[in-house]
Amino acid sequence: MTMETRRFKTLVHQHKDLVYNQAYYFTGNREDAEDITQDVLLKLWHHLNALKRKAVKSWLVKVTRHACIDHCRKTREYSLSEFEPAQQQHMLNRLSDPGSTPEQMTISNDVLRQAIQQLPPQFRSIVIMREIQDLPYALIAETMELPLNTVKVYLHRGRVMLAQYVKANCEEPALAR
Amino acid sequence: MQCQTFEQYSVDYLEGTLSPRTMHDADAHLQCCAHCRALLAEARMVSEALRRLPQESCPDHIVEQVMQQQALRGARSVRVSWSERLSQWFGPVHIRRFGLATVAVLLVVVTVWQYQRGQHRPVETETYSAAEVEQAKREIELTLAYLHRYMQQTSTAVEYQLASTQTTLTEPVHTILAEQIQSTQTAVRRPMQTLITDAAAPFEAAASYLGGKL
Repeated sequence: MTMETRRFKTLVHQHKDLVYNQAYYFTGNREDAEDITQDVLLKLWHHLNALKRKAVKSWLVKVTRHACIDHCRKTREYSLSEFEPAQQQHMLNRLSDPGSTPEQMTISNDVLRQAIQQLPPQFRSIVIMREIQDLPYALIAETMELPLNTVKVYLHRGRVMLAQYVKANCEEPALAR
Repeated sequence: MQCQTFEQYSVDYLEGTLSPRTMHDADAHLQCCAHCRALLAEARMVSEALRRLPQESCPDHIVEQVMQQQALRGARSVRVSWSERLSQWFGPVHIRRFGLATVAVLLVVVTVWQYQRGQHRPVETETYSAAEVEQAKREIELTLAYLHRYMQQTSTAVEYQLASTQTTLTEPVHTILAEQIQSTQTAVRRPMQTLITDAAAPFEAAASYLGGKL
């Protein structure tokens, strides 16, 4: 086994779940996540020698994000990103409407997964990276090529949009504790 | 604090990473803004729910497929630049420390090595027709004949020069110089013969080889 192969194998075992998790929550589909994971890990093999050890994780996160977005374009996915910014703002404003209070809501994992799929790609990436993968803000900002403050604002908006979706789609028994 | 400003701080507010002064301003805003209060509560709720989502594990068969694909594509798929190879061999610290000097020395070593490799590279085997071999043999024989004739002429010229010197000298001088003339004759002839014999050697070898071919 060559030195490159050994290094590749180690990196695959270290980061396979990171890639798969990101792809799974982005696409909401296991088969798509498997395809994306396979593609991304093979890309890692091709770029192995150009990557420094410390840069592998951020490179993988970035490449996985691009692969997920490409996948969504191919499958012509419709989401909140299809809406105009004014409509998005309207949806955000509706969140403060009186209704069931957050303390009374119980969100099932399935509903939450579906809700994530409805987020625009940029918001979705940030929510997944921070809330599910627990990546540091600096790495997210680097991956997204956005300022740190913008990342935090998008994260807040993403959370709020998710709450909007959950409120609109949850049945009353599921919402009330 | 305005709602827009509070939005920028809301993530840090929930994580408790704001400075005491900003935290105080944010609290003051929340007390008087129901809209931001509601958004913040929902954001907190969703964040907690997201963090409870299970971590998905990559199935083993994906790793197996990746390793199989990698084995099929092999090492040739990985492009390794010369600088990367140098780093692998000597380590990045050494390359940085010695910088251009290291690279220059290595370049010289590699160049000399490549040159010597080229010098000792085996001659590629080519196929020649019988007519071409015969022609080569004839040319080599002519060359050898010329070399032998040149050697004889040179030898004769040396002898003539020595003889003429000998005859023009008076008897006492001739007697005195006789041994020296003899030694000079030998000294001139031997190098000439050696030189021509050495020059003829490869031609004779080639002629012998071609003779065996025919």
